[in-house]
Amino acid sequence: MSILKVTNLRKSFGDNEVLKGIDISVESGEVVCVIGASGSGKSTFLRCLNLLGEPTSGSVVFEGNELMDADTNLNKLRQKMGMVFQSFNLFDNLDVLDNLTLAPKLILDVNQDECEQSAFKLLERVGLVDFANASVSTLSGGQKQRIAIARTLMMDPDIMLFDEPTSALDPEVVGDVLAVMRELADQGMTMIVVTHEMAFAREVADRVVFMDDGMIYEEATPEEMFTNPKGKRTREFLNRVL
Amino acid sequence: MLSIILAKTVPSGTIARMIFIVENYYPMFLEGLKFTLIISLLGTLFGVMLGMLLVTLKLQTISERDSVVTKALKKIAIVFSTTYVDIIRGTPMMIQAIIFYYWFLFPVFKMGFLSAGIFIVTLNTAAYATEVLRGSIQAIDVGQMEAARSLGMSRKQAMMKVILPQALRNSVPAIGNELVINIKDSSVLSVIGVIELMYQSKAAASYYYLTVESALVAAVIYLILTMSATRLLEYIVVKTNGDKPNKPNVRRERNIMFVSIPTSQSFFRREK
Repeated sequence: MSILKVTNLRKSFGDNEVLKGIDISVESGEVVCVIGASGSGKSTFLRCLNLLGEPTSGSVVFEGNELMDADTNLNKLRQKMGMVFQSFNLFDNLDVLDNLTLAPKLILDVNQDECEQSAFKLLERVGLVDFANASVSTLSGGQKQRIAIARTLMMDPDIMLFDEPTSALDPEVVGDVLAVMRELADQGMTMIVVTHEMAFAREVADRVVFMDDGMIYEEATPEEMFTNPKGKRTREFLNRVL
Repeated sequence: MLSIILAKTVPSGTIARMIFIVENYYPMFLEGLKFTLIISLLGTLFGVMLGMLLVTLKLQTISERDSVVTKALKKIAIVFSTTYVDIIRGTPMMIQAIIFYYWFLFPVFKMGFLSAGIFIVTLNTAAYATEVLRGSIQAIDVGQMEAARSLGMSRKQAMMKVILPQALRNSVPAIGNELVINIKDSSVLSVIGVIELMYQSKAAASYYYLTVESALVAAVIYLILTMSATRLLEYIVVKTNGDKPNKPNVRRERNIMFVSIPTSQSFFRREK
């Protein structure tokens, strides 16, 4: 059974319909990369999956729960849907360690020691254990994004949504972040990644989705998408970016 | 005849007369100073606390997912806080003092001068603090709230643990500004007989008709108070931002309230 099933998802800002009916389902352990031109609705689509952006209509079913139902406990479900943002969004008032431990301490039934132990484990995993007590404002972009990924992992999510995680980074640190993501994928994390990193998509994704004008225009295995795209617009887009 | 014998010789010259006033009436000025300090400090403190309450009412967001009752309650909260701020900020504190004190603070609640003074300054500060805090909260990047919500925190938890701590720290300069204003503006409470600095200075002036000299003494005391408060607050701001490499510009931030109030009144801080 698929972990996430989206049916006829639509989203409008005023009269401007940004998502024009999206259908997709994602299997557990699958890595889906979403590519497409700016303004094609990729980020809006991703933000609708955990309802940070409220869809106008449609259905989003995560682990059997319909998120669009008014009586669904969204906070509970969001714990299991990690999200990583383009602009990191680390909590500016907290140091690195507290960034990781704030949500689990507040929401989950864990004690302080346990929580800090798993935080240190994750910091080690993203190669930033020395920065546990650093202030967020002293970190570089690449470091911030790796901390943001670790913060999301603290909630032990079943799926992770990446919203252009490397677009705001200097080219030389993009690799550090992608390495962490690749490792996650290898460990079987279910991931939906909105990205402009075609090499990453090609190498890591199980499936690549090309969005155009608020719709899924084409989806295929990376091999097929990048060597033999079917649609005209897909070809045009890939010719521009590759 | 008796009064002539008892009366002291008033010296000539402004400075000499100011010294004369201080020598003869310093206990009155000290008493006034005490009341001015108590009223402005407590009024600012309680006002900011009340402002935090009002701003939470004001910043309720009505969502499609809310029940009808929740929507109605939120609507009431928004209308109430907005009306409160409009009325308090839109009328002079001196008039509020007269109305509140003679209408119900004294006749109904038998409130004394001091508590009435604190009460009125609190109400006023709350209105301005609400707007200051609203500005600071809305200035926090929406990404902070989104990140917190994406981790599964409720809106309230995100507010308390992420947004408010940042907003409060950013509000310190503007709240300090409130304190300085309250030190001076508590002088209007003399109309209801609060024996603060202004009241005492008028009283001291009346014995020998040394109106200007007595007012000058009060002015010097006010200036010392406000300048000490300003320097102290600047020190606190620098300290609290000490570990931030890009610490905000203190002088610019002090004017935060002038940009955060989107009404014509923002150009006229309390009109008297």
